[in-house]
Amino acid sequence: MTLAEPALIEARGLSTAVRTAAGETPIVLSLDLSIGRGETVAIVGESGCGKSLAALSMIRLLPKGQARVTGGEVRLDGRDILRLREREMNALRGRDIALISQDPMSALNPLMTIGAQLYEAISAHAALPREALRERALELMRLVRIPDPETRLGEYPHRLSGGMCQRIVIAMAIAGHPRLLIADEPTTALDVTIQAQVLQLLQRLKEETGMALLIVTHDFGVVAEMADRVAVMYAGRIIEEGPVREIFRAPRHPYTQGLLALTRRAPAGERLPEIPGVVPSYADRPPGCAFAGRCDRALDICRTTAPARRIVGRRHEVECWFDGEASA
Amino acid sequence: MAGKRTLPTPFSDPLRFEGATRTSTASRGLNVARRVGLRLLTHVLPLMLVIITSTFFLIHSAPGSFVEIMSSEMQISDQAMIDRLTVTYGLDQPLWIQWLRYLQAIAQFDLGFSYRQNMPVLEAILHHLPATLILMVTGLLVALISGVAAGVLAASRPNSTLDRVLSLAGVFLFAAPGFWLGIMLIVLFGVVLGWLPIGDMRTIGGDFGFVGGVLDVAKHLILPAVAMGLHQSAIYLRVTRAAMIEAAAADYVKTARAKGLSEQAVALRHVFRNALLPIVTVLGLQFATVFSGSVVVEAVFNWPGIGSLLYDAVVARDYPMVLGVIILSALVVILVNLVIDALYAWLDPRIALD
Amino acid sequence: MIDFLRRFSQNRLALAGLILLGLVLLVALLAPVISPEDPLRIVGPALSAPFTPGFPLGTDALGRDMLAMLVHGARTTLLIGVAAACTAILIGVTVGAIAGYYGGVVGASFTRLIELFQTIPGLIFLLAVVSFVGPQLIFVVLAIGLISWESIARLTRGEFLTWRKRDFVLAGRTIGMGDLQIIFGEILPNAIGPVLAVSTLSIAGAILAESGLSFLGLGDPSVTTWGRLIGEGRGLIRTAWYVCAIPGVAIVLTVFALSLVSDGLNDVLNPRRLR
Repeated sequence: MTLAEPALIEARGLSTAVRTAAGETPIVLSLDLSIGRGETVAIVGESGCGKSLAALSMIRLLPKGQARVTGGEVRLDGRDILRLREREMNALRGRDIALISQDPMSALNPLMTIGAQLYEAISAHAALPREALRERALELMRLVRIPDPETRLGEYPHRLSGGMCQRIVIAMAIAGHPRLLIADEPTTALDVTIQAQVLQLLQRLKEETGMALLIVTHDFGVVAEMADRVAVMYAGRIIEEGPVREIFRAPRHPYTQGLLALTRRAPAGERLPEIPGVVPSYADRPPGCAFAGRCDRALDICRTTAPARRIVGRRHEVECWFDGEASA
Repeated sequence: MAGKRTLPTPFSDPLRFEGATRTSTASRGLNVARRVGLRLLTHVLPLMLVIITSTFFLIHSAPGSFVEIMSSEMQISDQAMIDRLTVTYGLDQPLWIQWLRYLQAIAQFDLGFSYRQNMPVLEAILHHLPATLILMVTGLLVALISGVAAGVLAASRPNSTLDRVLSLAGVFLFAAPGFWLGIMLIVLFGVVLGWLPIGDMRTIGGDFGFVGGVLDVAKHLILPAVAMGLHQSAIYLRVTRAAMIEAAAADYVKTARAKGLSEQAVALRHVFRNALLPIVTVLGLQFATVFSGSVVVEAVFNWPGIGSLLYDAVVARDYPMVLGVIILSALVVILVNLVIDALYAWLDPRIALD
Repeated sequence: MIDFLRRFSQNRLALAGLILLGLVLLVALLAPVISPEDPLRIVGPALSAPFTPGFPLGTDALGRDMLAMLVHGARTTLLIGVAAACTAILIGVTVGAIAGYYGGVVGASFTRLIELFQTIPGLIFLLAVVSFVGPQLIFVVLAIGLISWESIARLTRGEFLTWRKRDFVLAGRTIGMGDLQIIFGEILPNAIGPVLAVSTLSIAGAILAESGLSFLGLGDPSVTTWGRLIGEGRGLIRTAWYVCAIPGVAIVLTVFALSLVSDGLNDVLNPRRLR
């Protein structure tokens, strides 16, 4: 991918806040992220860092009344989708940007058959006669490798395993031939063996359809498996971003280095062990780098002044005062 | 593509461990029917048995001989009638035989004889039941329609001014006893405005033909049904609001939105359909309360239903009638709950398969 | 405790409810001061409208002072409501705890008992009991308690079902604590919040049930309650509707206040309830 080619979707200064009893707490702080056509980008970080909210903002599906975008823009084909009316946004969801969310068992409506939910996804953007609808649904189910799709059409989600539900959710997401699929922790709720299958499926679908993929995950294993580029998020900011190989080979930010070191020690698929210390809440955040309190290499300047973004390699950027290239 | 490493996949067939058990949708109706049959055996029969047994002991725990009290209350001096009572309630037999005979009589729909009405209890109840059912069903419709509509409206913008006003109005309506609301409605619409009749089910001495008769009853029905319904609607407002807010936050609603469905389609097919489940549950839990409400509202509006019958029976100490009304109202509540249970199983595919 | 008060007072509606409830209680306590004479004595011309000098709330068909009857009615109405609710709480918590704590036949049969009382229309049962044993105050209180415990039991059972499998309960069992010790010492303190909220609401329910009974003229004839005042004023709707309206407003305000307080308690004490 060259820099000259325009990005498929580009977030600039994207900020979101969560509504709490005491008022609004900013969660995502002026985030910049672009995804090229057919590219797979991963946002990785600990829970609570704002990665999910950032991703959901890009399809405008933040939980209503609980969180909202407070600033910035998200450009798709040069159009700021944050300014679209809800109706225009609906026309775009599923057709340009699709979403699969964390827990497949609760992502399907328990009261509707698999078939009805698939039909809904297909007919949201294409008026098809009943028979064609059925054909398309079966085709989608075969595409995501659902065995015996005819029988499944009439079944309810609770009859299906988690992995099977996730396949249905993926089938619904690709029904409208989206150019970007946002996958919010797509494998977190699944068994380790099923995780691998779902990731392979996503990889294959991506190659077949040429769609771009934005994967939100806390698992560097998933990043390594899937992504071209990775953005590491900490306390609402992307603190390091670059090609996956580059980040794995030479992480610059002490936080990235810490995460990677822990990942390599942990058995595959296990939940990430934690770096000592806690993420500061927005109110307790020091004026400088948000990671300074947990960073064993923090300098005085780290605590007083926020680090600017620096380019440290080809498409590799980092927000850290620390200059040495350390081996992780 | 950089940094690819293939995660080990120990199984050649990727779907081997994802099997799902199968049932066809066609068997769902059958499952619901089987469930109803099962509940009839495990719930309805035992509950009725316990209720009937309790009423039996209620009779026997009353101070003095049941027949003595009743005959003196009724000023029955006719020995033949006293004998008939003694035999009906088997008072000359040991207690457990009396109990068996009581069960047997009720199983044959013999609820005893009402002196106040001078007819068998069952006949009197069946005569008054339609009026009560009309009132209850209409009142319930008023409650459901206004409560659910207000709940949906309140949940559409949680914590907005509209939500607060509606919720507060709900608490207020819950605080207003149905009979008092009824009287206030009579004062406003019957006395001051003179729009609607202040009581009874039909215009006395009126003859309007069939259609006119139905309209006449409908006119008499409005105030009592609203009085009953408004008090109850507060409960449905509350549960609808909570259920809608909860369902709207569910993952499947996010999935539905991500498909690009219109707001209305999401609200109706996904949010409301799921929110219906707790509403139906509360409907079942509240049904006995609806019955209670109708008793006082009937008294206010002089509505010729079970409530009026019971009131008369209590004032006149017409014990067979009092017991008959308890047994029959419990039976109605249980049967309605059976229907609601079937409805629930029909609405929620997860239940029918248990 | 301080934290509890702070959070409760942050809920403005609950605070308003508490103040309103306090006012009603104050009126009930001060009844002998506000109107020291027998409230049922005739003091003036019949059917004086409210705001007549000397009779701020008017007089009824017999010329009795509405205000005097209302404030004395507050005492009996509240007393019956609280006493009946206490009965209901006692039965409800006991039955609910047993139904939720014990598995097997015991738990199942107590659960069925709750279902049973959910099935019998409360007021019909109340009328039946009163017709069998008579309308004396004590019977009325007990009977209202008997029809009001079901919702408390259902909630308590649910709480016990969630708590009984928790680690600290299992730990208590392994160190040899008895069932009673676990129920009252370990589980009940954790479940007390929601139970307290629904118990507050059961006072409201008891007041409503009693007012229905008295309204029908089937309550204890020796006491004046708000429901009875409405019942007695019923014949006057064409001439003096305020005789019915005023005691009704008193019921509405009291039940309203209790509901708000109950909601407030639930918000503060129920950790699972999200706002």
